[in-house]
Amino acid sequence: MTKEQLFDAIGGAEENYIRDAGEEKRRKSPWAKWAALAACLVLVVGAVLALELSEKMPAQAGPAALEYNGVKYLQSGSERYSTVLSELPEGYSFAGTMMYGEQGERSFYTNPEESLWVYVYCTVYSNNSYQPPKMAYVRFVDARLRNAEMICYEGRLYIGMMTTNIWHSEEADVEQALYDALEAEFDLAFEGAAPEGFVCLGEVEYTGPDTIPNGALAGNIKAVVWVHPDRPELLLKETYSHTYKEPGKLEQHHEGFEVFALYTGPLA
Amino acid sequence: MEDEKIIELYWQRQEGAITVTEEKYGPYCTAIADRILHSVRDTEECVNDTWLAAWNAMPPHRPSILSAFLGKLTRNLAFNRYARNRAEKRGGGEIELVLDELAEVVSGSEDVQGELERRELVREINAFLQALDVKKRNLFLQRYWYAHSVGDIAARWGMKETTVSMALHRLRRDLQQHLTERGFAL
Repeated sequence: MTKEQLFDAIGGAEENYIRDAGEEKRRKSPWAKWAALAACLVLVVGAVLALELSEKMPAQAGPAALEYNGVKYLQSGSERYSTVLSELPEGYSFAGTMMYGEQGERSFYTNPEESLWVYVYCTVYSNNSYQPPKMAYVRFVDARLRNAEMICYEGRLYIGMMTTNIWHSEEADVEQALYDALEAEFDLAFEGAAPEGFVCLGEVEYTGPDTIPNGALAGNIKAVVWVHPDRPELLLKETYSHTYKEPGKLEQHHEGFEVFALYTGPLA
Repeated sequence: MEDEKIIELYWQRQEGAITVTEEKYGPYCTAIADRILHSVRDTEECVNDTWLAAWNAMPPHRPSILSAFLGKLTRNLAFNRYARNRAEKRGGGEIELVLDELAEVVSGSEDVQGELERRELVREINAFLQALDVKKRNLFLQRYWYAHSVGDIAARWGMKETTVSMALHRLRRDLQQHLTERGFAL
C-alpha cells in the first residue's frame, strides 16, 4: 500500500468526525470552570426540556455507550483481543438489553465483583477482513477509565497527562492546580534525558487494558518508570518523541518522557 | 442560510445554490485545498471544481452534513490535482510532510487496490477512529484529513509541537497495528 492510498482512504472518514475535527477546539481557560458553574444554574432550568428533546435527537457519534446503575460504559478503546471474547467470562450474568447502533437490541452482562466492565453480546468483524462477522462478547468499560493510562506506585495511582479527562469533563481526575503546574514545568511530555533527581524504577508489572493497576509498581500500559524521591505528585514514563526541524525534512527521533500526574479521580 | 435550505436549492436546480454555498463554505474549502496544493491559482480552480461537483452530485445525493460533504469533495479534488502536479514536478507544502508521516504506516509497495479493498480500508479506518477518544480523533483528522501543520494544531490545543508530534506518532503506530491485525497488507 502506498502513502497516497492511505491518505485517500482517510478521506473517507465519517462526516460527523470531519465536522467535529474542523471546528475550533481550544483548551479550557481556568475561568471556564467558574463560568460553567454559573451556567449550571441556567442549565438546571433547561434540563427537563433537554431530556425530553434528547430522545428525538439522532444518536451521538463516537463509541457505543451503555448506562447501567448510574455508570456510563463505553466500548473498550483497547484494540487488544482480550476485549472481544467468544465465551462469557466467569462471574458475568445477563443484566438487560441495550440499543447497539444499527445492530439493534443486544444483551449485556454484568459481574457484581467487577463493576468496571460490562460485556455486550453483539456482532464483531473479524481481524481478517475476509472472514465473515461473528457474534462475540465485547467489553464495555467505565467511561472514566476508558483509554486512561495509569500507573500504580507504592499504593498511589498516577494517570498520563495525555489521557486525563481534565479537558473534556467536569469530573476531573487530576487537580487542576497540579495539572497546570506540571504542564508549566514539563509540558505533557518532553524530549531529552530525565531531569536531575529522577531515578529509574524499571518496568511496571503489566495489568492489562481497562484495568486499574494495583501493586508496588504496576501499570495498565507497558512502561519504564522514573520517579523523584521528593516529588510524589508525578512519575515519568519513558517514550519516544518526534520533531520536525524544518519543512520537508523527515522526523528526527529522540528519547523523552511522558508525564504522569497523581490521580485524584473517583476511581482511586 | 441554513444547510437544509441550501441543499434544497440544489435539488430545485437553482443556480443561486452555488453562490450561497460559496459565501458560506468558500473559506472552509479554500483552506482545505490550499494546505494540499499550496498554490493560489490551483486552489481557486479546485474550489470552483468543488462547486461544480456539488452541483452534479445533488440531486440525487442529499448530504447529512453539508460542510463535511463539501470538504470531502474539495479534499479529493485537491489531492487528485496534487498528484498531477507532482508528476509535473510542481507543488509541495504541508501535504508533503503529511504523506511522509503516513509513509511510516505503509510499505509503499505499488499494489493495485480495487474499490472493494478501498471500501474495507475506509471502514476499518472509521472503526479505528471510532475507538479513539474525541481529542485523539480530532488530532488525527486535523493532521491527516485537514493537513493542518503541527504548529497550527499545537496552537489550537494549547500544546507544544513536540507533544503534538508525539501524539501523532502514537496514533500512526496504533493505526498500523489496527490495520495489520485486520489482515491488511500494508
